[in-house]
Amino acid sequence: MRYHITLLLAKTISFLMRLCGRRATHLPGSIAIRLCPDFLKHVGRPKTIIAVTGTNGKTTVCNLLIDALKENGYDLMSNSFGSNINAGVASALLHNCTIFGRVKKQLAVLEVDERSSLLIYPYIRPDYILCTNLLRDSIKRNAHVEFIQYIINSAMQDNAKLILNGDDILTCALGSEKQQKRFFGIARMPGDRDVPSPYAVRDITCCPVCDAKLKYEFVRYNHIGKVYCENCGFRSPDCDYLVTKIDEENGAVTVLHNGVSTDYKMVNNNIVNIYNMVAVIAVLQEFGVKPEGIQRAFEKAHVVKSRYFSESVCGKELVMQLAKGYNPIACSRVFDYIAKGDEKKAIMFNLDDRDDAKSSSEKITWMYDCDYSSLTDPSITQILVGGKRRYDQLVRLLLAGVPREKIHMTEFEVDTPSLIDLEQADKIFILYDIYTTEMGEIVHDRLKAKIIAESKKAGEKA
Amino acid sequence: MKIEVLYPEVCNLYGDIHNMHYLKKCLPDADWIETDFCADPFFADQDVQMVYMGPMTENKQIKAIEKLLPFRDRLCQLIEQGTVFFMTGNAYEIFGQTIDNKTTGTKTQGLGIFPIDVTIDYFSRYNGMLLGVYEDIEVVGFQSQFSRVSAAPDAVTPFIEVRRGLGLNQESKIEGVRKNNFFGTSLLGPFLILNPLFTKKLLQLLGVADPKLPLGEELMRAYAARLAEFQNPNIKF
Ligand SMILES: [Zn+2]
Repeated sequence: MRYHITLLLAKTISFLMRLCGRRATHLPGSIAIRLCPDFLKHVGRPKTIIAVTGTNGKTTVCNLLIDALKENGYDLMSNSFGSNINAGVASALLHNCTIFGRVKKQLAVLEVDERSSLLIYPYIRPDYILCTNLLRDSIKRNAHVEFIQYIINSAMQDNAKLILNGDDILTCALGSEKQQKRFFGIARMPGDRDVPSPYAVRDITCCPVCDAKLKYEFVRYNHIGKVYCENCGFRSPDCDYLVTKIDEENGAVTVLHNGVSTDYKMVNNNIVNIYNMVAVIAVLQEFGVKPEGIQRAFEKAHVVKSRYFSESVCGKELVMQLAKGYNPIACSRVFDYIAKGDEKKAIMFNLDDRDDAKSSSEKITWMYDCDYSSLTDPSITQILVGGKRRYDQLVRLLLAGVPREKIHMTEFEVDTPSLIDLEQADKIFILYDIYTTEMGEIVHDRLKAKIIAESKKAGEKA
Repeated sequence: MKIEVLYPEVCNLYGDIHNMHYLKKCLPDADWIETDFCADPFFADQDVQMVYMGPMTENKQIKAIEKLLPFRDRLCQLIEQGTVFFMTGNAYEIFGQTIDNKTTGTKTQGLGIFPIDVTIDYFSRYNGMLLGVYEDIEVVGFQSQFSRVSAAPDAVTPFIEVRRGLGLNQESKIEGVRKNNFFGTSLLGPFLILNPLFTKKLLQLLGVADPKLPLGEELMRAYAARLAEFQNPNIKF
């Protein structure tokens, strides 16, 4: 009874919000859960639920997965326009019900915030749970990885088939022995290391069975790689879906599954996106989509513009790159990606947390969990730092070994374009957070205007 | 000078290991001993001038107690004779009487060196900042913890007197533990980089007469900016 009244009320609120042009992706679900705490248990459940979780990559994986399923003719619902906590999931499922509680679409792809697992999984019991990775994340939200592992495992239901990153032993440890698990990963590639980088933090260094120091077959970044224990024989699992070749020249990725190799179009050449791709391939095949269908979908796929966007302006390449401050590993990956390639690069380094800058003071511990060592690459000619934390960034960059003359600071992020020496930059990266896209766009527009103006001036002189 | 870093591969949450990276720049001639989680501590039968340990997960706290318990008497002896100990985050909690994890239901006996008791609740994480005073200097830092510490009134000498932020627990205005040259604090992150004035004092305790800090000017500028923010009553802690 309580559920039915809540459903009716939440549907009405949702309807009224939409009538007023609002998106209704959080509030109706939030109210529903407040009125009926086990609302998620009662709300109509699609026949199949695929949940996507993990520290980094879950939004990209969800986007790729949703597009690929649609391309293969599936009619599905998702929470991609809303939040990934319980209220967002409740809003999405609410929207998928008629006022009488009848389910509209029978397939759901849900992005789930790791920390919200306990408030979601026991109620909706996903059929598939894909975990991209478990890495060090925001100190405020996620504490540490063992805690996140504990939360996810406490929430896990045995019915779920797990699709896990086989190169991340913290992710591999999710679930119980009763559960079906499939692993995806990337075979050793040029650039992978024999031993861990001294600059990169690792959230697991000791054998989970016997505490001895873990050894590496190879290590890719942070604790991502293949491990084994000399003392007790523990080792990373073999991958059911293994990227065996990354062909940057032809933009193709080869995946080995059940002894058969299949080529897919490379969606993006950043290694984290190769992981996202193989994760999507794994869950789609487990769900029953044929490789040909996935190949077809990937022909059209791309990483959404809000996370990575590149354009050419008067011979300079301008890249908008999402880099979440407070998330040390995501930032480390971005820095590493920027350092690759020999062209001269400049970075607009605007990573301050928006809310903290407004009313608090940012807890900058993440800067020291983040690996800044790749920023010393000689191809990076300028780092332009704006915002309240510029003095902290200066110290961090200097301690990492970035020469003082390459670092320039302004009080406000939007002023960083005024400091750039365009002659020393063929490629310019604008870093921004999901909450500071507006600021990122201002920086982008100012920079673009400066490039055009200087190019015009040079043209006139010539 | 010998400085022992206990379990750096495990006690390395929140960038705290940079305390040691920075101290290495301050003391380029010191001998650094990094002790693995599966090895016995170097201080067990050797003299050291300083021991450092950083924050760890709650499970690792229990294991660290197991590993250090056989050396409890030696730890007491070193603390008594004035060896410098610097423990950040939750590292000093293992030196207390008990660690009671309300979420997992496990109660662990600590090393029993200080009369403090620790309670952990995974569903009550405290995130905040701290402004406090140590001797004649102001100290700034960050806190992020599942734990609260309790101690009988006047049972421990604190490290820091709290002006703003969380003390041992919600009611407390003192933070951390100090005995001779043992400094234990819940503050985490690169404390020595955030607090150059304290770092100078620490170096003096280690026998450096007139310490010059690497990047001292830059550190002081960042410290001054943070101090000004923390002193601003409109800033949310
Ligand atoms: Zn082992």
